Amino acid sequence: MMDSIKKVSRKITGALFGSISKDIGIDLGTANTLVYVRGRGIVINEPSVVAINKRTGQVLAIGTEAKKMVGKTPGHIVASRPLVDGVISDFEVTQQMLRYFIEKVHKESFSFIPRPRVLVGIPCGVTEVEKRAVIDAVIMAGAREAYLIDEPMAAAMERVYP
Amino acid sequence: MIQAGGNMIVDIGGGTSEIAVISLGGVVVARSLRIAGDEMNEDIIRFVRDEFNMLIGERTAENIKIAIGSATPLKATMEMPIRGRDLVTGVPKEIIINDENVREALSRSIRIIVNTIRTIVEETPPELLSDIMQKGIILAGGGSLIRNLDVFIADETEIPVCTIEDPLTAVVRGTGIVLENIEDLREVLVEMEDDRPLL
Ligand SMILES: Nc1ncnc2c1ncn2[C@@H]1O[C@H](COP(=O)(O)OP(=O)(O)O)[C@@H](O)[C@H]1O
Ligand SMILES: [Mg+2]
Repeated sequence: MMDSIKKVSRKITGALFGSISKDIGIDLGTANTLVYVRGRGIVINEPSVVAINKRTGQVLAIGTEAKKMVGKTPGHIVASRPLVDGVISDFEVTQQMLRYFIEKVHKESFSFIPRPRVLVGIPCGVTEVEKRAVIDAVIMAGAREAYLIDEPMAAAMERVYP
Repeated sequence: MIQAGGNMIVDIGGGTSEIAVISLGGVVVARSLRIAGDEMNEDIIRFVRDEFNMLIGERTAENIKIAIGSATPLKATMEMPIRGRDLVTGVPKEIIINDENVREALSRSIRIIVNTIRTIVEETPPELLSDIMQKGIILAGGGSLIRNLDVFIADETEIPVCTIEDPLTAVVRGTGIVLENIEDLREVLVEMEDDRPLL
């Protein structure tokens, strides 16, 4: 019976997640993005929406502000979701959205605290390329290191680790 | 330590529903389907178009789903006025939509989710299934807040169902638990196959 259990995860060696750094957990959902800061709890809970001026390429709004614009934008502005079907569909915009949220959290701390290490949830069954895209987007958005967890595992954590 | 034994999680989000059986910190069987909250909004848009000849936007559809969406009949009927554009005349109009209308609109998507849960149940090793029968299916994600969805899934699968507390924040709370207890929980981190050193 036990050998039928295919473990996707395994131990990662090394001294990860020391106690000095500000570690954050992110639920990068297709609809909503949430951020948990170690020692503080959930600090961000906003729609995964970004509004962009297509003429200038400028980001006009992210999160709650951007969602208010959905369905109401003039032709040159798009308010859209950078994740589709659970995976990154627009890498550049996802990266900008993550940067905005990570900086929002990081700015509130003392500047000598190193950039955060980030744990992100991913849906089951995503490809290696899609996983790599999540890691790269998080690193480019300002994380020092990025780690992944299967979303159903994260959702069940309170039950399996009481 | 992580509790031994199987758990089934059904996470109904915006773009996808994830159905997974986990045990000992790993995923045993899982399926992701592109039927979730967004598709339910589309279901409502289609229903209103076909039944009321009226065009509504996605925001309106989502508001309807959240306000009166259900999977089985409610004790007291619910209804709400909605505004949109008449498809024939092109002018704005208002109609009243009720819980029965919305239930009908959502039934196809909910049926597909339930059928996929059944498929996963069939693929679950018997020992783990017996754990799941005992502990119940865990519902998470915003879509799990559809009224009576837990009851409907329990009836259809003959497995008890419980919606996790505050289902919209379950995943991020889980990442928090892992961060706060990383010494114990390192094993739940997903490894990359290529093992390329991180940037
Ligand atoms: N009370 C509710 N009833 C039904 N659906 C809801 C409710 N609240 C939120 N939702 C739906 O849940 C979905 C978002 O869930 P979420 O778990 O945040 O998704 P994701 O993980 O994809 O970001 C949306 O489709 C939203 O309409
Ligand atoms: Mg989710």
